Amino acid sequence: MDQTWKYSAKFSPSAPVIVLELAAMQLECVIDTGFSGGLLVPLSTFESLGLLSGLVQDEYLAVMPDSRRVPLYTAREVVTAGSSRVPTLVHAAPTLDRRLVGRAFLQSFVTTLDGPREVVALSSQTRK
Amino acid sequence: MFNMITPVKKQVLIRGVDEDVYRRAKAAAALQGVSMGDAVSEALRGWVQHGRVEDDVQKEVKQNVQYAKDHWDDLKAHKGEAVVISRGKLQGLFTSYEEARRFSSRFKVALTFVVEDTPQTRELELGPDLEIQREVQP
Repeated sequence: MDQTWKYSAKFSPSAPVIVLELAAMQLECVIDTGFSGGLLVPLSTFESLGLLSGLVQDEYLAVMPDSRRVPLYTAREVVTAGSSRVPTLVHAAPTLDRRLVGRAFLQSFVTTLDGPREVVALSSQTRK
Repeated sequence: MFNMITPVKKQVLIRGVDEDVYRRAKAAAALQGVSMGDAVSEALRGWVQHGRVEDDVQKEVKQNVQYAKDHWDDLKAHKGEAVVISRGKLQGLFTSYEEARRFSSRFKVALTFVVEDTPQTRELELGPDLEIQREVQP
């Protein structure tokens, strides 16, 4: 069954967002297909959820549009989107104050952006 | 109309600048038609914004990652087990990730993972934060 969310009017034009639950915290994240990772959250959120004590052994670097490489703190967490629970890598860095959901998370779903209705729909579908 | 604020410019003498970097920067600035003052100001602005100063968390993360790399041959012997590395050393071995995660929550910073593949460095693409702002006329 599809999970749907209204676009966020905090952006102009409004932006497709989904509300995820991470360690009992609700996070509204912008869908960003230019981000190849799972979930990017502000460092303050990452820290307050205690994710600094669950870091993975691999080092992750965010490659910025100007080719700068920004080291990321990365933890593996189970993220809930509607009724789906997805193990996801959650990233944060002191200089990246954004809440984004990227392609690594979205690949578990069929995502539909309905611009005229300003609705995001996420549905789980098994791969053929 | 754009509001133009001209920054106050200061004459500075900086000792100890790497000669090779300076020469290449000067050539790049000349090619782009930018003065060295503007080039240095831009570089310093970026340095201040993005920070080169490592805080304690960053230091500890690096220390923990280095421990995992340096001791990977020992850790490999525990393949399939979960480990917690904190304060630059191994803090515990566990039969499940959940158990390790519960234990690691007592530390502010820790690597918590199941021993499988050799630690790697991975890169993620991150697009620009492009938001267009329209300037409203007064």
